[in-house]
Amino acid sequence: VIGRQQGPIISAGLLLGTGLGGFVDGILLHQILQWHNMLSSIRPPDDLVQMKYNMLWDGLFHAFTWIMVALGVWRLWLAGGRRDVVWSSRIFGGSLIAGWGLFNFVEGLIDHQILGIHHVHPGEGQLLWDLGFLAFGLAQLAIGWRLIRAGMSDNKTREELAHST
Amino acid sequence: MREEGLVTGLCPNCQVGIEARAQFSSDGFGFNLGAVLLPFLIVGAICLSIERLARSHGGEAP
Repeated sequence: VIGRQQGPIISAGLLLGTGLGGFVDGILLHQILQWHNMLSSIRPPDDLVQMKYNMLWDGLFHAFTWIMVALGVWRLWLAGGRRDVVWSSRIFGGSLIAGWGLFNFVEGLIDHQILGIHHVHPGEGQLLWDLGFLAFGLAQLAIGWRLIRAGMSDNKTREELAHST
Repeated sequence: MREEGLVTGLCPNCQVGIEARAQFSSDGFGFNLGAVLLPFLIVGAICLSIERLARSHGGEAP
C-alpha cells in the first residue's frame, strides 16, 4: 500500500534487539558464565582490584546497552503513534533478531578481532570461539532479514489491526 | 575490637574499589572508552539511518 511505512518499526526493533542482545552478552557471558569481562584480555581479573576494574567497564557496557533499549522504546512509542506505520509481528520480530545479530557481529569484529580487548572464551581455541560468535551474529542477521522480508507482505496499521479483532 | 577499616571509615572492599576507580580514570581511559563505545555508535547509527533509507525507497524497507 502506497504511503505505508515499515522503517520506523524496523528501526525500533533493531535498537531494541541491539540493547537486549548486549544484555544477553553482559549477563550471560560476563556475569553468569564468567567467561570474560570487558577488558579481561588486557587486564586479566586475577586479583580483586583487577576484578573491580573490569566490573567498572562491564558497568559502562551495560549503561550503553541500557541507552540502546531506551532509544528503542522511544522509537517504538513514536511508531505506535503514527497512522502510516505497518504493525507487523514478523517485521518487528525479525528486526529484534537482526539487531541482536548486528551487534554481535560488529562488537565481535571490533572488540574480539581488531582490538582484542577480550575474547569470547579465552585460552585454548579462543579464535574458534571468536569466529563462532561472528558466525552466530551473521546467522541471526540472516534469520532476522528473512523474517523482515517475509513481513513485507503485511500491510495493516495498528489502528486497522485493532478494528479487525 | 575495632577493625582498621572501620576506624578509617573505609571497609577493605571500599578501599579496593577506590583503587579500581583510580585506575579506571587514569589507565588508558580514552582508548578503553572508545573500544567499549565504538560498536554501539556504529550499530546505533545503522539502526537510526534505516528509517531514512526506507523513506528514500518510497516507504518500503531497504
